[in-house]
Amino acid sequence: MLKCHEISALASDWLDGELTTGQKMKVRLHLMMCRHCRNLVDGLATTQRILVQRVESEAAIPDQFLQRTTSALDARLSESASQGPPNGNIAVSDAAGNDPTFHPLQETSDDKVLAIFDEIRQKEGYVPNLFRAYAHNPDLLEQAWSRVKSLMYNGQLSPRLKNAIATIVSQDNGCDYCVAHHKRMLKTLGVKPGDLSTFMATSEPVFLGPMDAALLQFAREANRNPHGMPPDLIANARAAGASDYAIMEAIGVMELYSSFNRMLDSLNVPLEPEMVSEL
Amino acid sequence: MEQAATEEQQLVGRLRQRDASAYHEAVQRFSGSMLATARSMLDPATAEDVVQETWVAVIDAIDGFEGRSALKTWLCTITANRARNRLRKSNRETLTDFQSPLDPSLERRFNEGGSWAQPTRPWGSESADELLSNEALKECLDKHFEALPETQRSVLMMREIQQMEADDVCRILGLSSANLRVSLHRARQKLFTMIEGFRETGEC
Repeated sequence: MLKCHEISALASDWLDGELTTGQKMKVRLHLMMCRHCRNLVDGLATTQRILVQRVESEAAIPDQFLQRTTSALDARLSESASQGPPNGNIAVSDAAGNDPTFHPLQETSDDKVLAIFDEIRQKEGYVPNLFRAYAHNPDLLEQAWSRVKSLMYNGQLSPRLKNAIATIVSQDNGCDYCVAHHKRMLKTLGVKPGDLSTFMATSEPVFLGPMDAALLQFAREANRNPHGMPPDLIANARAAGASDYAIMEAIGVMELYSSFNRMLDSLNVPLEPEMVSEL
Repeated sequence: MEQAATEEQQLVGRLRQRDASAYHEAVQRFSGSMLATARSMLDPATAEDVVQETWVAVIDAIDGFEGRSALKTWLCTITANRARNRLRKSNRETLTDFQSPLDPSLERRFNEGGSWAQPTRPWGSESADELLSNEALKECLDKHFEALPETQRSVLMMREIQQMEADDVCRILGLSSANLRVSLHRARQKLFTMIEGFRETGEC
């Protein structure tokens, strides 16, 4: 026989039909015999009805909001009709906007930097401004590139998952530069445009399996909510088959992009002009 | 219902064609729900910014809309996803808020053996409608709803009011499905305790 305390814990699941058949039988039996718990369950049900009736599902739409939103939409729609770049305040080149940008290093005679740039070209085809910015400090460039090599070009996790972590962490942190780069990577990895649009809008990772989805959710929360992380997320990732090695790798990817996001945005490092179409 | 689905499909088709008049129509029709969703997580001015951003994002995202949910629910999902990243961090839950199914307001009414020490009294025949005819109770409810920890308030808004899918709510708020159930239950307990107190003392 369940105790009243246990019934109270299960009361919402009982009302919402979320209990197993066995649990339902036990709760029903208890409720038949205990009026105090019946009072609680009835009161909770009434509370829920009151709430649904009272809390407005639609807020009033202020006129000013309507005007602002309609003009923002019209501006964006006419831009996309003329195939121009989307609006946004990201620095694209030195000449763009009034915000001072941090100049990516273009010319150098530093042997260490030249050797690393060569390696980056072999892997990525060109040297992104991210690395050109770090190149002002060759030791930091070396660290940044070796982290990218070990995390993004090695390791156990799938490239799709790692680029999904990079994308969502960067989106949560508001880093357009990294979002543009990793959206392009996800496309290169064969993610369908519709699935990618869904992912960008609702963060639903339709192109990932259950273990990767659990690791993505975990890594995302580790970035945006490290102090209030619900303990179940790590348990869920483990239950979906993630090893501690994999969990640490997901954390590593999150950390890497979280630090890149901060560097790029605080220094306003410009996006390469050819990446603008990804925004 | 059939009619409504077809009409919605037509609207979605026009949104996909980037038809400006379709966007104007949709903004009129759905912004109310989107604003309510965003306001459960944010102050009114930030909520408006987020909904406006959401609309601009919809221009790109609409191609990914598969009609598995109603358009309104999908729009609320995108709104909530964006609002979550602007969430103020002042009234965050503590870990025990997710681990213990009972809210302290109810927990303290049990003895060590797990039996009622201060049982609830029957709410009698007073229906939701009758209770809601009391202006002071409505005000008190609004106040307590606003004062809920932010995950609990967001969960109530998304699940109970906007009827969003549990999976979507979990993903947006970074919760497991067990965490979601606990948040929902604890929010209801808090409001239950408030209404019960109000009925007995007439005070908020």
